[in-house]
Amino acid sequence: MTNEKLYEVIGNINETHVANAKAQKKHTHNAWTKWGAIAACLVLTLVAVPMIKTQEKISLTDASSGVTVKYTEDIPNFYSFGKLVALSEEELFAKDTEIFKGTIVSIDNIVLDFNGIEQYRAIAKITIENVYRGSAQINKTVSVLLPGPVNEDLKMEDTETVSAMREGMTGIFMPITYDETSVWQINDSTLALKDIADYGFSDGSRYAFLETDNGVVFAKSAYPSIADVTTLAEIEEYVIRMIKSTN
Amino acid sequence: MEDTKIVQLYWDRDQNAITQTAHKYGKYCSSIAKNILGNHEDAEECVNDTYMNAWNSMPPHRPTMLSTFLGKITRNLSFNKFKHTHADKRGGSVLPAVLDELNDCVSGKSNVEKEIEYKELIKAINDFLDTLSPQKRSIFICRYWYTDSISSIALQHGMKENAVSMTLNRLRLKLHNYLSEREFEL
Repeated sequence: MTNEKLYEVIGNINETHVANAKAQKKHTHNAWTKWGAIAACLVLTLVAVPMIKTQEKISLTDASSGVTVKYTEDIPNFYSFGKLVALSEEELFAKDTEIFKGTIVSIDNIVLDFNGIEQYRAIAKITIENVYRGSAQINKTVSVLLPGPVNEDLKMEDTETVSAMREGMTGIFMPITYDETSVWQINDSTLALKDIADYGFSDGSRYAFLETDNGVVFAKSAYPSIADVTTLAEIEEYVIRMIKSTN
Repeated sequence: MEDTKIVQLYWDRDQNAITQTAHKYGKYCSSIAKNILGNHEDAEECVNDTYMNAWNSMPPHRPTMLSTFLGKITRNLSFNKFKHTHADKRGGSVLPAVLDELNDCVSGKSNVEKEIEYKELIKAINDFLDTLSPQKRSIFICRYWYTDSISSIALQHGMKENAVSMTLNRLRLKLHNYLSEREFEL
């Protein structure tokens, strides 16, 4: 195909996308904002010195109040999570999660502002290739809220799996499904999680198994029975076995 | 005037339709034509042809999105004019740079593709765009549909020009991989 033909083909893309492309405007926050904040909830603590520049707002429904969510390319340089509650392999699989295999097609960091308290997360879009448990659909691209931002330079604790996530990676994911009851409340603000993603992870380490250039990445300490496996195919067999045994 | 009323003027064969279209969408169409042709006179000629084309298309068409309906006509007319007049030799057109970038996604071989394959390709590109964040999608479309300059995209999104170029590089690579994985012969 020639470049001219591709240019012609692009001329026929979805009209709504074309119209919306011009509606996307800059959201300027030009000043370097130096701040330190300790936002505590049961499971996480954040300390950050972010530089905020280009941000794009995500529209929320009326189910959310007092909160804004924006895409951001500038994230804190340190992110720490509290101690995870120890769970056995059986207990992890007994959690009410979907389980599917898919490829990460994009990861975008976001900043959530709960009436002045900022939290950083990321949204991964995953195209589903196989469904082991739940109602997800093969070939559909879904959004999953990650419990922290993702960046190669970012140092995070207790989030080894999410930290390793990159666009193009294939993995097996165990997210919880967001519904009308899934809300995040801080500082008198409420975020209906369904407004920003279809699914979310309960923590940053134990609910995903990734195939990377350096082998498989997952929370080996949480899954001692498969700590030595080296391929996603082996993990897939294990996952199917565990689903059967916990049913 | 609301788009539905302008469209109705076309259907009523009321020549005020063109006056209203020019008033509301003249600049929009001009910027598309200017980006492609880089020349004010040629661009205005294409915009005037856009109005005539719209006049001849409505009826039977009743576009749901008048802006993109007109923009698409302008884009097609301008691109045809660009090809026939070798406008790439003139200064000011953004299109030569855009076409050069699109070389990253294609082989350059002039295959005889079938119409049905184009339809599938359009669908695949739409699916690809669905996977992007709104900002990245907008950047891609501004560059490869509207043929906007890098500086204008940077201004729209409050980004630095090199950040826009970097984003576009990545998006082209992603598009190429996305289509190759789906076995499109590019």
